[in-house]
Amino acid sequence: MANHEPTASERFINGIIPENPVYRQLLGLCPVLAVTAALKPAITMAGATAFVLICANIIVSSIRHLLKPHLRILVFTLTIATFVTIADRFLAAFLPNMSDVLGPYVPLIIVNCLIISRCEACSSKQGLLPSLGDAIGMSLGFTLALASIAGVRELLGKGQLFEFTILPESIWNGWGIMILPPGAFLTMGLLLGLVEWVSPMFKRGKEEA
Amino acid sequence: MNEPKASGFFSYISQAWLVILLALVFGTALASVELALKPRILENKRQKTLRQVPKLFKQYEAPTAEEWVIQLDETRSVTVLKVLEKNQTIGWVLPGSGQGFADKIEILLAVDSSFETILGVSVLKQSETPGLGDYITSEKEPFRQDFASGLLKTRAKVVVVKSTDLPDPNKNQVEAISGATISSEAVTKIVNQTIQQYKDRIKEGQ
Repeated sequence: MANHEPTASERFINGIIPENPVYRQLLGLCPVLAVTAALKPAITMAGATAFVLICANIIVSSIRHLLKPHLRILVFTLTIATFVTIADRFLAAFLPNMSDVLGPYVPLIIVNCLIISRCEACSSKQGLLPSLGDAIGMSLGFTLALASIAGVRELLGKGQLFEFTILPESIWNGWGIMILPPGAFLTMGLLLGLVEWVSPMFKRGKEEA
Repeated sequence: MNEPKASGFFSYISQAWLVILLALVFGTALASVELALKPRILENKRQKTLRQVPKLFKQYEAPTAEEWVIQLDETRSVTVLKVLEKNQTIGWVLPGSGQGFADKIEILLAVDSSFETILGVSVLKQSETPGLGDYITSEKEPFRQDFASGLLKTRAKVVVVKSTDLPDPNKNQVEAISGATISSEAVTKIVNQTIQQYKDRIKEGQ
């Protein structure tokens, strides 16, 4: 591995596709499987995770020189837990319906390994700008992953997208299994396979050009 | 390093000052968020409860609700709703909660003014299995329609019966949701507990 530290824009781009947290790093799979039965909760979850990830990366990056190595995980968890609680309260106050739908999965962002891995791998080592770029890129990547899985599940399961009927019941009956937990595993597995199958083609295309 | 080795308290502080400081700062931040948002969160919950009233009293045109605080014991109290139409008490809406299949279920139970008949149940909060147990929230389910039938009485316990046995609301039976017997039984148990909890209190405090 080269010793060159990725810049802010490289971090940003990496998060979206090349190091996509879900399809590439297989991180934070709990919300990916649990709240992707429909697009609305999935996007809300992605937004809450993005808020926590960005705030945690900013705080950890700005105190990175003060961290004692053996206490760093403690500081990460403390920071993440604080922002998760803030996000949870704000959802309960301003989006009560979504807060009910997401239920325990909002507090569970605390143990989303995506966030702690970004604190460990990026923001505790690099300055504010690369950390911010990383957080935003990773958040977008996470949103993309959640939205793609939720889109497939909501469309095949209910014939709807964002609760708007796309496929009326007369032509599409809805596969109940897509809404149920097995649907999450099936969709994620198939999309993961698709990304694995497609991405080498892109790489080859780039090298030939 | 040439620093003299600090001992005891000072070594602890020199290691952990950042954690302590962050805990204090974050703690203050969380306390202020909670203080600022708590009224709004409670109001959301109140509104959600009030929105259920017309659904629970469907046969009435314009039911209105009055909040009543009932003292459970010296320290605990709950708010129930007294439902009125044209200044006449038509019933009560009582909150109840208990363990479901996955997590706590919170319900509202509607009873008539004399506390004899169950008028309906609505589910405020649940995390039952999507596609199976979460049908307890669906008003179209026979399970929920049995509760809304106006045939169930409060003097005996409500019993869940699987649909093959032809449940009879006249015998205080409700039809289980297929594939979700545990969730159906959990809701029914909460209903029975809630009736017991308020039966005497409401009759006294008329």
